[in-house]
Amino acid sequence: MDEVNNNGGINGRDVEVIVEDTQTDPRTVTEKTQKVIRQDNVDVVAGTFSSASRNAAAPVVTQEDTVLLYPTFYEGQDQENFPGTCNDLLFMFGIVPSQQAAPWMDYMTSEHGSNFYMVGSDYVWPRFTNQRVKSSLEDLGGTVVGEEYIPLGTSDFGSVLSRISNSDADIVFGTLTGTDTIAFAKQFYSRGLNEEFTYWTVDDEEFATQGKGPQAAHGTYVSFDYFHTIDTDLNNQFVEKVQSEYGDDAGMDTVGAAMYNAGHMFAKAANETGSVNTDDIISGLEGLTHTGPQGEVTMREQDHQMVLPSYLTRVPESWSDTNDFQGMFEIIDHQEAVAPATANCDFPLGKGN
Amino acid sequence: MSYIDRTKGAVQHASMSKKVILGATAVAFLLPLVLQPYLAFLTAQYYLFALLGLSLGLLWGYVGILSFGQAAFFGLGAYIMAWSFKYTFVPGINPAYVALLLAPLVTGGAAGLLGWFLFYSDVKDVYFVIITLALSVILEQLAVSVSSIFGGFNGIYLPRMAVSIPGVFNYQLSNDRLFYYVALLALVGGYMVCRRIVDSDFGETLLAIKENETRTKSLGYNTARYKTQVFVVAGALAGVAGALYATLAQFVSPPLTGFVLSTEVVIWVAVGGRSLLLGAVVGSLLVNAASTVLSSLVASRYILILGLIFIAVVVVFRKGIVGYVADRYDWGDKL
Amino acid sequence: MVALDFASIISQTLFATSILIVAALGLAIIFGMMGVINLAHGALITAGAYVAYAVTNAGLSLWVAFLVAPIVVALIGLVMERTVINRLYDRPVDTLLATWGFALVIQELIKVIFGTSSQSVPNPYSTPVQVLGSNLPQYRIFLVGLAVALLVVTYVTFKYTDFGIKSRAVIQNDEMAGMLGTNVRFVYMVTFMIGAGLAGLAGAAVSPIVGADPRTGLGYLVQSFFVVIVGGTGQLLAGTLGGSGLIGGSAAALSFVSSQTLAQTVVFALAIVVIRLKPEGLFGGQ
Repeated sequence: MDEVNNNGGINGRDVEVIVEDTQTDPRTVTEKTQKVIRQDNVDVVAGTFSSASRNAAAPVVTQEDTVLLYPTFYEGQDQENFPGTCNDLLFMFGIVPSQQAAPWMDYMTSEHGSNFYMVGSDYVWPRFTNQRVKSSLEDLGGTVVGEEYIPLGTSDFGSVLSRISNSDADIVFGTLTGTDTIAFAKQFYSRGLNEEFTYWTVDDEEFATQGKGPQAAHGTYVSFDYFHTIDTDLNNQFVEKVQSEYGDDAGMDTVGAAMYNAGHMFAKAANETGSVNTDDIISGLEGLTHTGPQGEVTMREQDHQMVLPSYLTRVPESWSDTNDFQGMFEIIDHQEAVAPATANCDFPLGKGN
Repeated sequence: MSYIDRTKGAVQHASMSKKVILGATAVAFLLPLVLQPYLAFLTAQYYLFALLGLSLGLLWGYVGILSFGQAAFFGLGAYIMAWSFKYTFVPGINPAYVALLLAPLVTGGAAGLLGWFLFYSDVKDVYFVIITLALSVILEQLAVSVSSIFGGFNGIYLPRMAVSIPGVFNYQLSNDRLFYYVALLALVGGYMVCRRIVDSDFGETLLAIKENETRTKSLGYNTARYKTQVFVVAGALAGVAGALYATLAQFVSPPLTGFVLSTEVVIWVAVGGRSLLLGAVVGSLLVNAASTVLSSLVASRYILILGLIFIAVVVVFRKGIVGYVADRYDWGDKL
Repeated sequence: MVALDFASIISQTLFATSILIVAALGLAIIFGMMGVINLAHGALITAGAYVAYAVTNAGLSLWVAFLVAPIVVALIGLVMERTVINRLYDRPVDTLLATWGFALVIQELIKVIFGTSSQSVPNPYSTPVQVLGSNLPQYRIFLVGLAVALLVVTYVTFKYTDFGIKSRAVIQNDEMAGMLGTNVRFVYMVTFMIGAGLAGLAGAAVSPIVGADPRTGLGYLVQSFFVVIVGGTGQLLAGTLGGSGLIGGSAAALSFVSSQTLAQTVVFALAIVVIRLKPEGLFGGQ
């Protein structure tokens, strides 16, 4: 927003940012969303981190007819989740499984083999992601040799690891989240399984990988739309600014980049339509193209999903300093403008009640 | 004496504490006239949390049993309300009414089952703490993984409830000021139920059990039965609070059943004063209001401050804030 | 379905049990022996993990962390005990509340000092060993050894050393012990510190395979309480061993035959059944 204000603000006025911490607790999300809209009179709400938080904020923004810009990678939209998804007021800036995994199935299976063992945390996002991956895999003639869901907060992965070890999987496909993915990776490594299997995850961005540490992370494949280490002029500038404000050790991940894009695209939309009125913002954002740090991105008009680049990376053996975000990932390949699968929504998107 | 004279007399002779309570209640009823709708929403939420706190206050203050799992009942009540809207249990009847009847039955029943299982085998009260804590933990994990029933992490949506008389009218309480009254009535109603229990002979027995269970048992009382019955009421109250909260926030998700909320309830009641029903209510209102204010002022570090305040209260105010005030002004110990 | 591998089940049971022993021992002392319902136990474990991170991040080896972490966390325990806990020995419910307050404060302070994201602690053993045909992680084997060592040392300390005997005497009857000349306050303080220090050691011990995160200790909190309750507070060692064995073992064994979520639920249910049948725990009673 500082950049937006430096560029003349929105329609000549400065943007003010109000920050509230919701502790990723849906109860608090409902309360704070109410507060910023009804008490602080904001024009647009940006954020909520988890899908659950976004879903908690949804009834509030719907009732108050305010736009919500959502930055986190998630499982995609489904009409069943309305008003948390398929809602005209919500704009999703994060990447979805059809953009993260699907583009690289071919490469990964031909390089490493087509037997997948899927390990995920026990909730919607991993299950849904695995569903998508399974169908792509089957199209390629691959097999799923194991599929397990682990309750959140598990710290001991012994039995899963034993099963993986005894299986004939080629690739271990991970959708574990939070601290579980870190514990899993460490224990995976301590059994020497990273020598035998290839570990591909669509969840472990910069900060989770930092938590894993070099030993456990080496050799892991990760795919997202954005990485700190992407070498474009814009990203280099972006990272530099982040580090000058937050310290040399600061890192940036896909969620942060999505927020950055969201902020700029909102400003663009508002400037183009000349107002911050909700309906104007919606029409301004739909179809809007923007050059973000990861490359060109477009907010698709139909379902408010972003068309994003997709990057496949690997953690190289040369990475040794946990504060080194630049050397953490080595980009293997990337594809521009990967369109997400069409959202499972009723079109056109409604605001409902 | 005319009715008016008698009432005046009663008011004059009423104890200080009763006056304060009645005064506060009167203010509460008038508040929505001056409150912005957003604040009405917030206060309604606080009232429902206070009802949840009250459920713990009854159990803890009057029987001496600490439940670290009241959120499990609260969350279950919330899910029942959500399911009632999603699946229409009884066609033709207002789903909210169905849920408001079903929730306390189910949560009370669950409490009864657990109580039967534990109290009748003389489980140490300290163990009860841990078991109820585990209950919250397990329920939250189940809610997250069995997403076909619980909606998982993504939660379940439901609309604001309506008040209705079948065939006559159906009015949805979208206006937060109106829902405020529902929440307030629930709290007042819950408090009155608890007072009835506490002021009765049943209540006297409960206090006896709290003081010395062995002795009470030797006098022939089936203490396990008393404990279970109170636990049922506590479970039911929490369930009703949860059901109403669900339709206020219009969204339910697993954290409503979980460990974090369960422990927060204990804090609310401890801060207010666990031996007094009013302590549970006031403590809940105070801590929640303080959290909201603090988190807006200090964004990321407010939990730290809350923790410090909490430790201070525990050490300084042995009987909680309300308990302290009640002692100072000699309001007796039946609040 | 992958075939059941008995070596895997046995080793996994050993591993799960040993980690629970290490994690719960500190609580067995503070809660089991002293009767203080220490809800800060998880936060103390977390603190130990972060000390391990700080030490290893400064270039020192993990083994140094194993020395530093219990000392640092014992000092945290000292602060807790001297400022608040010592007033509350006769108010068990208030200790519960106060320790929960401390848990919040410690957790938040950790976030302030170290930030909110997870930190990594290196695993000193980088290759697994071949045992009876399976690849077993060396570090877990080390943890089994650590668990045994801790049990032995604790047993010897409390049964044979001067301090240990005094400690047991004070806990059983502090008035008598006081009259016989023992400095009761001091004994309580040191015993509490020992319990806290063990929690810190546990945090450092698990950090290479679990990481250091503000939420690390929370999972171990509930599990530790279950271990102490199921094991019973009568006999420190037998109880800890028994409780850990039952909970860790059944969790490990069950997770081989069913989904992890179901396994966890069943284990909790099992623990509740045990308590119902034997309310004082497996080795309860004085």
